[in-house]
Amino acid sequence: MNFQNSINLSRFESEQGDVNTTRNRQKYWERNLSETAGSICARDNKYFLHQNLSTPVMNVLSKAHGIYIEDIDGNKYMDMHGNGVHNAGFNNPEIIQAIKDQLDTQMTFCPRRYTNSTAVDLAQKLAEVTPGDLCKSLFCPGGSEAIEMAITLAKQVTGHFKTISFWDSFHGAGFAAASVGGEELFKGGMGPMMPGAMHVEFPNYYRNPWGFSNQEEVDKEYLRQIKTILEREPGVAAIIGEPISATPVVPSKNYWEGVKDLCERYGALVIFDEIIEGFGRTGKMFASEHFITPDVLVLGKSMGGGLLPFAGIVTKQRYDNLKHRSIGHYTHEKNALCSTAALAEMEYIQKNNLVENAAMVGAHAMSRLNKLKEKHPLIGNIAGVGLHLGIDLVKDPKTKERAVEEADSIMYKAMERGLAFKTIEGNIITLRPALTITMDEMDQVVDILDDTIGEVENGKFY
Amino acid sequence: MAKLHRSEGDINLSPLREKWQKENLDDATLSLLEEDSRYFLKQSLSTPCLNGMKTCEGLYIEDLQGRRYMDFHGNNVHQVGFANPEVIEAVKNQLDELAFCTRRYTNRVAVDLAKKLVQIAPDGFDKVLLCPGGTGAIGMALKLARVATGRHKTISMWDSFHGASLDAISIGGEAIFRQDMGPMMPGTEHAPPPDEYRCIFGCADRGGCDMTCARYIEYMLEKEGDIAAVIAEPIRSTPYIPKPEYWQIIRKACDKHGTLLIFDEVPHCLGRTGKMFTFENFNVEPDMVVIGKGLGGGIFPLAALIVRKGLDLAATRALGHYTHEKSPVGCAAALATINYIEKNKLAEHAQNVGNYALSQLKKMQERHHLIGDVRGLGLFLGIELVKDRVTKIRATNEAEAVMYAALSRGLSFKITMGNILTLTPPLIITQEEMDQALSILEESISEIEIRR
Repeated sequence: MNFQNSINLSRFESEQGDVNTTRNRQKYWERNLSETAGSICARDNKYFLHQNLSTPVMNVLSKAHGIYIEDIDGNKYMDMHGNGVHNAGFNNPEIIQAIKDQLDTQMTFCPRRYTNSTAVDLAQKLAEVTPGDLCKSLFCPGGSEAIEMAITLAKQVTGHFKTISFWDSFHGAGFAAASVGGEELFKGGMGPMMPGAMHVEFPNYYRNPWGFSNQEEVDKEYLRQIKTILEREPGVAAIIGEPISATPVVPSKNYWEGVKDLCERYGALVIFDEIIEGFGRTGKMFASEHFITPDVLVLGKSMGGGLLPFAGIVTKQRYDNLKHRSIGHYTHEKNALCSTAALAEMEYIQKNNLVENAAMVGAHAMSRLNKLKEKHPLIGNIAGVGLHLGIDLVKDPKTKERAVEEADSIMYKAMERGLAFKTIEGNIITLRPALTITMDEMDQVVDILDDTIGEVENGKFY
Repeated sequence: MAKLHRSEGDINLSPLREKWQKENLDDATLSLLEEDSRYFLKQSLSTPCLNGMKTCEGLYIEDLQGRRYMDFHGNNVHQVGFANPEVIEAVKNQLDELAFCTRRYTNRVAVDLAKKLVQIAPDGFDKVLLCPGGTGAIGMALKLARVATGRHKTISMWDSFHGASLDAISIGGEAIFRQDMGPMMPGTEHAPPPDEYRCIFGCADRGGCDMTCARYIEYMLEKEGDIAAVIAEPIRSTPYIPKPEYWQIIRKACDKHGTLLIFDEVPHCLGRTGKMFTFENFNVEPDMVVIGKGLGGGIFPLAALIVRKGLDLAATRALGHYTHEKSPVGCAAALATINYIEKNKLAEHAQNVGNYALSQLKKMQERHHLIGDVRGLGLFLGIELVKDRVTKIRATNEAEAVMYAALSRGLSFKITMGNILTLTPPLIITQEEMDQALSILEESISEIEIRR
């Protein structure tokens, strides 16, 4: 495809991910959809409301297993995205067996005034595996609701209502979650959002606005901004962020320690959103372990074993002082089936040392990607830790101008070679495979990237 | 201690609950409850819990001590009964095929469900969006209303419940969710819900409902002029049943002012009121309807937004960016649920058993002065207990005592507004089982009346 003819994708249109309105997407459909897939996609278009990161969809899935998804025509793709649910791999047979066994006990639903031993076992397990003195759980079906429970708890505990969170972050699609999120896609054209939701920049050492090259200087400036808000806008209930951004920038430990100090000084809670990063993704069971223990930890996605919707918060004993209030009034609060999935997921991760595997394969991928960077001028920066990796593509290593069209082309090219990943902020390739991925499989991934990046560098766009 | 709000349900901080637990729970259950309190955050309406559950099936839940209760609450997920074998079979089969679908792909079973939902909805509804919970689906509806109208304000009802997220509690009308939460979503106006028995506009003194409550909403729509949507449950869980005229007046007023009408049918969709959709009882159609709870067969968390033609307007935005948007397992459970409801004519059955139960309750009302009012539609029934039929003072303590007395006899239900016993059994309940439940209820009411 001729570069000049490609649709001019703005960074913001594709901030959360590759959108379904581009010309490359059209081309992909023309080249790849079989008649069967085309007819199901047509029905999907007919019956579902359209929105830009789902319907109209890319293709039709018929299977998913391990690190792979498989389309209806039998094409397999190594999935480096998986919407974050696939830490133990897709369709994990041990998790599926556990769910079937649970279905056979008929303990399939728990009305909310009752409890059941499976839900309690899970809450106990979370108290054991989560860092520091986190020990009190509350569950709900989705991460977006869990973020809201965390914010609600912070409001109730502190008596404050304002929040500080980060530009470009995503915390869910609900109004409060979208309000603390920092993306135009969820707020533009929406009218007023949650009052008191303020935003700052997430640390970015590669693209910091001051041109600092020293990490400490960068941290100091970002912390100063937060302190300014806390001083000038008293009444902040919480600072909410992913410990590592989705892009993924890994902040220094010093940065999060600084945030925690400020929060303690001004009476705000630290809420960590580990919906994507929890359960081994970053080479630790929880990403918090790289930094600090938050006041509230938010979990989701892989918590449902890769097949059930499930999320929750884990917090400290001292915040368990709600009296007659309801902060997470969700029908499936103590769903025994979802709890079974979460327990089976954690058991699988621990038994198979997937946390260690994530650290090891991640380190290997990182060193190979850094070598690719020397070879490809299109690669501006490699970031991440464990199996939470990002490749920042730039038109020019000096100006760091985002290579948005290039990233889109590489994505579709890789897709046709059996590698699926998501781009974020338009130009960043994100790699988050199942934690079951082997060294050999990761090498295949890097090889495909090497080839497709090279082709686009040589002007061969999708 | 601050006033304990009882609008949403029976509460977990009462001496009666403690007494019931002391008399009925063994050491093993008590120790599970203790662990539950140790590891879960406490909040009203869940932890500390009432009891521990072992299993559930059909009409029944079973506690750890092997006692079975007819569940006339079930958080309203149990239209087809708990652990419905056909739903379980469908879930297991789907687990063997495709258990999860990433969001840029679709899958056959999700498309089949969307098509089915469009088919069972009246003509003119043509698009669907799915997500795991009713709260999320309400949020999607509100967002779509904002995008479609370019406005952001809403009118909703006091005492209503639409979910626990900030937008849902903002349009909701219950203090238990709203207090000490700082500012709510801007532009969320509220109106009193229709309630002929306790009409705040005093219609009882004028010989019955004269639609002042509907006119009041018409008035608000006119005064504000730029309301995006009226969002309400067609029947509140109390359950006062408005006259069809009520919704017809509001529908007309919405049309006049360019406002969308959104119905939240999360708790009573799919047959409970004798129709697949509750609004079909009122000869009126909303622009959007939100369903949930029982949609996932009482097993899988799933909800849906179904909208009328012309509202597919947000293709370049993200309305419902939910990970499990097109869950093949959830969709398989929902398809099996709807098929089960259709095959066994459960909507019709709900209407028949519901009519029968309501007529029995009316007879019961004649025998018991504690019963101020009985009402309902299909298998969505309510009994309002009062200290005095003239003053209508809510018999709150009595209602709670009746609830625990019934629980001890094997019947579980929920109280709303402090004094209203709500009965929402699975739609598979037989007339004999209903008789059994009603006699437990009557015995329990008698017991409390005598005790007084």
